[in-house]
Amino acid sequence: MNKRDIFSYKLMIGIFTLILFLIIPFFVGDYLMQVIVFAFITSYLCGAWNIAGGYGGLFSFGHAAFIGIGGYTTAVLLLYYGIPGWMGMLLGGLLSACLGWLLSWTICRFRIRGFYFAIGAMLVAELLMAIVVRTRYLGRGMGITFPPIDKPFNFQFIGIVPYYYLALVFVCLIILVAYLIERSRLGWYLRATRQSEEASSALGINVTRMKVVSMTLSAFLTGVGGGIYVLALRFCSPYDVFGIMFSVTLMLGTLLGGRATVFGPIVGTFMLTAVKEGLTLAAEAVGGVSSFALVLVVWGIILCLVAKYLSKGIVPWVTDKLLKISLLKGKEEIV
Amino acid sequence: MTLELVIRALINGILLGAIYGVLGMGFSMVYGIVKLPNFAHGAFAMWGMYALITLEKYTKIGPYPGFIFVLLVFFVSGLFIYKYMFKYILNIEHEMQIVFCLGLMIIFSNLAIIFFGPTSHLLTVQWLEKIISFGDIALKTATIVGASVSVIFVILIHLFFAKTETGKAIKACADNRRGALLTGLNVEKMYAIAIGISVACSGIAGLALAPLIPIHAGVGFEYAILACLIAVLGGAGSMGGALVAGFITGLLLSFQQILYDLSLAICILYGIMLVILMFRPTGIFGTR
Repeated sequence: MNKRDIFSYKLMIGIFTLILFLIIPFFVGDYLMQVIVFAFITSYLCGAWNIAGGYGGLFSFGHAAFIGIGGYTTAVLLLYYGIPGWMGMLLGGLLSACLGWLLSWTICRFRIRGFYFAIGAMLVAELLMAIVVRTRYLGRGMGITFPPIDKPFNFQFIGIVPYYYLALVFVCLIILVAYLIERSRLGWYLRATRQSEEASSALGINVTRMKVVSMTLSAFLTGVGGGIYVLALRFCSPYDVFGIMFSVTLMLGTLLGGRATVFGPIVGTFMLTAVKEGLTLAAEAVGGVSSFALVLVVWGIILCLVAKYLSKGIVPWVTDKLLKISLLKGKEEIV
Repeated sequence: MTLELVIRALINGILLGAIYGVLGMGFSMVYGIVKLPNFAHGAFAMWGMYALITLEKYTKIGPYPGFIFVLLVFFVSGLFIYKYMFKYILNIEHEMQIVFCLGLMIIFSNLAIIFFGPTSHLLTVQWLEKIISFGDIALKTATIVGASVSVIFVILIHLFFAKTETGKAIKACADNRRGALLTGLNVEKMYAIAIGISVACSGIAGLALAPLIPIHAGVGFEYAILACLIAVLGGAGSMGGALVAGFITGLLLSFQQILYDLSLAICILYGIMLVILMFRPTGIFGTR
């Protein structure tokens, strides 16, 4: 089996999976459709976080800031000024990118590390939330609700199915972006920086620029994701889009699945979604327990366990195991 | 802006500051001694508040006498939390430590929702609702009691660390772990005690704040962030610094609350903290 065969083998599986995903809406009910769409959107957002947090090594606890900016920009432009959703998303992404650029530049310039970076990032998201909650123009604590209108050009649809295909496009997009980054010079430099900043710097890599680029790109993508999120949800609430739980979800999904991998964020998100839906069903069957809180308790437990035992993530763990098995059997390395 | 408003803001700020100081001290204690950024700190304060509510609703002992018992439970819980959780994460990646503590906070907050429901509760104790007036300045008894309890606790902690053998031993472990081990100190036990005290600090802050604010599960995260900020402002490892920072924060919030309203006060506080994080992350008395 030579390299060319393996390449087309993977491609076939990829195309088959894609076709499978394309026809899912015809077989799946409304509730499950909702679950899948938001799982896709969250996977996309996790993938976007991964660019800064995984590949870039900038473990950001405040990515909700970008989601919020993207979401509010989209919502306000669409509902107050009639600007199409997709344009709002792009503008939201740009604004987020500006904030991301500012943030990463500040962090590099002032050498804000570890704990201080974490609390700072969280603070930015909380500050934005506090500001929005005070601002009547932005709907205060009650958020902005989207009327159920059907205007495809604006990315406003009534059912959930059109959003499914949009979300699918986004997931493919983030897979592509992650794949390209891994193979690019940026990805190479980032990998070096992740392992040792001093050594990379000594070799002539502009560590600051790498970090800024990865954070800005991540912020842009996250902002756009925030836009599609509020469009699909038809609701933009400050406690949701700027909330710590959203940041934690992005982080948890990527950590669980595998930082700095292409499919890690998606795998992680789907595992978390499976846990969430399973627990919700169980809680409803038993009755009397708040399923929402129960899910979060379990997610918290998963977070703690992952932090201690599986900080690399599931995908690298599986890949390592497969590698060991194939080496034990004496075969060549799995490409 | 009259003189009485200013004086009221001043006194209120100092009183609140004592409470925030205790909260921040607990965080600084853990960060300074065990080198662990304990994001779950505010969650213990929240559980303190819920404990008070439970005591008030379901027992004959009033919440305040009963709280001595709760404090002991908190201290012992701290010991357990060290022994079964924190001990294992001391050697993992720094970011993963933060992630772990964040996970703990999520667990605690949502357990509170499961047990107490998502709505807000208010703690109303008769003798705390009275308002004492000095001339034209009115203060809630609750604030004074809360501040007094905090100050007493701070003094006790200071005496503990300065005068007792165990306290000095803990400081030794913080300064130089290897040296302490070589001298034969039981570092594990010292760390456990330190964390027990820290959780108790958080509990005291919760006790003091409980009559003053609506209590809901989101409070855990709010105070976790506040504890971090206060600790950072004062210098992340320094307990004295946290106390000073607590007073500064209390005064800041108190003045802004009088001048504008609370939500703007929080915005401004966060903004100031961001600036401080940029230019002087080591805080006032920073050691690291």
